Amino acid sequence: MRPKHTMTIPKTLFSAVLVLVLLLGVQSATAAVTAEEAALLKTTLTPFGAERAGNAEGTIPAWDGGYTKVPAGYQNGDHRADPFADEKPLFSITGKNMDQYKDKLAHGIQYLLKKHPDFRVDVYPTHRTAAAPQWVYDNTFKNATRAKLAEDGLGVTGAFGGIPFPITKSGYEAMVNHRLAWRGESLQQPMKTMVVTPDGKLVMATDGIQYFSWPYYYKEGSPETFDGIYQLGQLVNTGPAYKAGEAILVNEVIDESKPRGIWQYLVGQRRVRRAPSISYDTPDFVTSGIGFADEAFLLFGPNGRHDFKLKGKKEMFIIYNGNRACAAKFKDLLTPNFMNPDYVRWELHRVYVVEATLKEGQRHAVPKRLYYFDEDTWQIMMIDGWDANGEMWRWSYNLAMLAPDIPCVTDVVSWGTFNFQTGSYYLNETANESPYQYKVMPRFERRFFSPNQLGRRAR
Amino acid sequence: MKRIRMPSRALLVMVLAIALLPWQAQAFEFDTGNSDMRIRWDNTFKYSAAYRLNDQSDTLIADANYDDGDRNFDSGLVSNRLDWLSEFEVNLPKGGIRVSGAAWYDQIYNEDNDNDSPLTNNSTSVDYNEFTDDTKKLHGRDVELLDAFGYLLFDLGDVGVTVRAGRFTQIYGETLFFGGNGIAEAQGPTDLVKLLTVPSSQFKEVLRPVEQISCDLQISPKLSFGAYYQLGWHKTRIPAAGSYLSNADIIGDGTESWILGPGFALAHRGDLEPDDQGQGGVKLRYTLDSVGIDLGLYAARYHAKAPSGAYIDPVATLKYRWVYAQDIDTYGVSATGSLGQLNWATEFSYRTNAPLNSDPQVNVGLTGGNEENDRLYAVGNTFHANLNGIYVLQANPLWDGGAFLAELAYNKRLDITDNESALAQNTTEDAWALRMIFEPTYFQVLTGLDLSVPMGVGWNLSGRSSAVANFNGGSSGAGDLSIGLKGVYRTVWNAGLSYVKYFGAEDTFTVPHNSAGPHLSFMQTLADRDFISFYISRTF
Repeated sequence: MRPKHTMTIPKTLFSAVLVLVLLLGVQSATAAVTAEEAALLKTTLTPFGAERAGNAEGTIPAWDGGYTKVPAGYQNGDHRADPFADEKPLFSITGKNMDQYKDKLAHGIQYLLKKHPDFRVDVYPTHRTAAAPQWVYDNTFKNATRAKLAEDGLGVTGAFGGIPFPITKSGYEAMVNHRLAWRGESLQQPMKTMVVTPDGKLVMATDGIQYFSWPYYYKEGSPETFDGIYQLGQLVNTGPAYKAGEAILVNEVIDESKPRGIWQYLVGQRRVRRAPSISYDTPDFVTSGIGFADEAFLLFGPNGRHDFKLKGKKEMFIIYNGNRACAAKFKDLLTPNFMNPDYVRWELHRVYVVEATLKEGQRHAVPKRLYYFDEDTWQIMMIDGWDANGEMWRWSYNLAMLAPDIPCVTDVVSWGTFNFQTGSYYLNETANESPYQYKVMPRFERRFFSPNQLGRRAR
Repeated sequence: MKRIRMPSRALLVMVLAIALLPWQAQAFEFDTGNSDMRIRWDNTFKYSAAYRLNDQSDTLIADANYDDGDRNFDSGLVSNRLDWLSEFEVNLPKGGIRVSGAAWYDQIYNEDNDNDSPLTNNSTSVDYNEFTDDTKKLHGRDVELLDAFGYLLFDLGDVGVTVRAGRFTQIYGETLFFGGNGIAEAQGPTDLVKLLTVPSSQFKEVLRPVEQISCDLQISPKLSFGAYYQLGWHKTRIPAAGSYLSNADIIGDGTESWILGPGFALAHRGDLEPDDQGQGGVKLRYTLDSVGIDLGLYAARYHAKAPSGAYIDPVATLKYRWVYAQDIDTYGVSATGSLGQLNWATEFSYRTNAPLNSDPQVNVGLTGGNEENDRLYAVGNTFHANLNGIYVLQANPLWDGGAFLAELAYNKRLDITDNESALAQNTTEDAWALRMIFEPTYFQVLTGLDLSVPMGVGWNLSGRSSAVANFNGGSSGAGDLSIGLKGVYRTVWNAGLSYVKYFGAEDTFTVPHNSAGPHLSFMQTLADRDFISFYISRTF
């Protein structure tokens, strides 16, 4: 199946493109789209390359610029209110009626519905709230014709300050789009990692402060000035007590052939040490091994062990505009076996589906995955994961919080993984019950994210 | 029959503190009503016990000066201990303070011991089957201040400045286990008691704080400069004379006499310690982004943290004393980077005016000192190299995750500049040592319980070091093995069980036995000291 948007291209235009391609000679597979194709970003497609129109049934509305209305009295860092708090679910999906919605449900959710009769998916009206500043749209438009995927598919050149491949031709491009999706520029968030054990107990595994900055979105930059470090992150642990003061710093590089910067601050030594690259299927010890390193933030670190195939675009139920869940008390939200359905908002959205299969000769505990990308943000909304025997094993999610003040819909605030073999799950990087949430910061000085400064704020 | 004494005040305070704590709390963080100010107070309580597996070896109790630690403990319980670590912090955006302290009580050291050899016992202030006051204090009950410092963060133009002042720990270089063989030796003393009790402790766990002031300048995102100056000197904490892992009755806290023959012993005279002033260092760190390598350059001057020599006077004063060298200079370079799941690091350093491993020196009148003109221990220039790696384990059918840590250390005596004859007779020019821990982890073995199985080995591959005294335990061609089981329950309770075995040909610290002219043996002095230990701890 080809992505739907290519089917909407008028035939004449398609022929013109074909002629152009022939005239220019054989283009490499990594080439950007043509100017004609890119022009669609201002007509039938949204600036990020999604289908601007709604669906025929009217269950998905047209994109009308997203949701950028900041509530009166909102102060930077306040927990963002649910702007659709008054809405009632349109319908609920449970184990009983799931068959009629099966093609719109992730495999992990089907598993939960089958396993737990009291689990349900409450579907609310769809709101295509994703938005970004105009300059991000402008950059995305430029990227469409200038960005080039790295030879091995694991990186991009010529892109800056916007989605690199709004009109996406491959699974590799989609993965890069997620890494470089718009989530604001510099932010700070109190974060906790909450683990729900198989017997339903709630355990706080990490308490800390997370700092984010995306140099890829430093407004005045350009592809020429961008040094390839797209994300700077720092986590300073304040708990549990025996981890207090530890800190981790990452300088994420967009070209995976370049060395990744990751450092650790060791409290007892007041010394920073370059840390082993925590990557791929290394169990995330913070979550007692429930999650793998490359499931953090839905995609963390290199991803060179799988091949990525764009399977196309389809309508699916995903968690979206999850502000209510992001502000809930932990004990209310994180109930045994699954998150309390009363707090989780599901909506019907179009998603790109990318299939990841293990590369020849490579090893990974999860040889097959399906990644679901929100068409409006390019962020990965869910991952289905199967084990080597083809058994459904894990499902990752994010709460897709709407931040109209930035404006964006962001996946980095609250995400997690369900491990069906153990029956446990977690919610990570979450600011629930914290004094503030995903606070917009003045740009941090670059040296704030350099290894030798890592210990400054730590013990 | 042992006399059971009333528990000390330290113990009562600890029991009371445990009883009064908010048992539900994860950690004690005060609500300051100001999101920029964080105040926290964490208290960790730990109960631990150790059990000796074998009786004394005849060889290891054959010398009167190296037998007390062995004879004091028959097989059975050798430690029954409660520890309290308290940490208080105030953190503000531009600075903060940290104060921490520890208290402990070990029932075993507060009672009589198993010694049955009055003639070979080196204690003079107490009966032969009692621990001296200093030993009792170090191992049995004490309260001590650890960190007590403040820090400030500010900018000078484009340069980010961090200043710390007070009592704190810090190390330079890239050492994992062998701090004594690295640049880290200059920055502070260590807790060898802890290192020996938990053999594969990482170097970071055994550092001890020093009064100092330090300054770090972030000149650019890639380049930083650091410097410190110390206002105090502290010795490395070695097992007190007569404690379980002490292999010499003549050294450490609680040492009281040096037996030279039946009825003839030298008394201990206060050790000759270095100046509190005169220790400091600088570092330059640079990140090579293009290859992902961090480089370091270091220079430091320091005083020895462990005794550099023993002076004995069997003629005039009838005393002995230990002496610590001063004004040692070290210069080093380091590099660290990552290769996939592996973090590797290496450092090389060169020391001048460094004390060399020396045999005890007869010094009539105890006139010897630690100055250039009166020292009696050997001095020279040495070369040191450490190479280490931390490898993160991937899940496979045998384990869910975990880590492998290893360090290879090498040192070489380059030349002897002073007192060549004092050099310990049995030393070699070069020495190699290895230490590693392989620790597979198993997640959620029971609900909420993560387990790991640390397996450690320390092995002196070859040589009898001239450059580092007690290098990796000091025994040549020998070492220690340990295997344990560690658990974390609901991220709150920590517990562990471990078995430690010493291997290699045994003998006392110096040979021949009961000789008037002893030489360092470099043999396994702890061969009969295998033990199992248990701990459980929780932080509030």
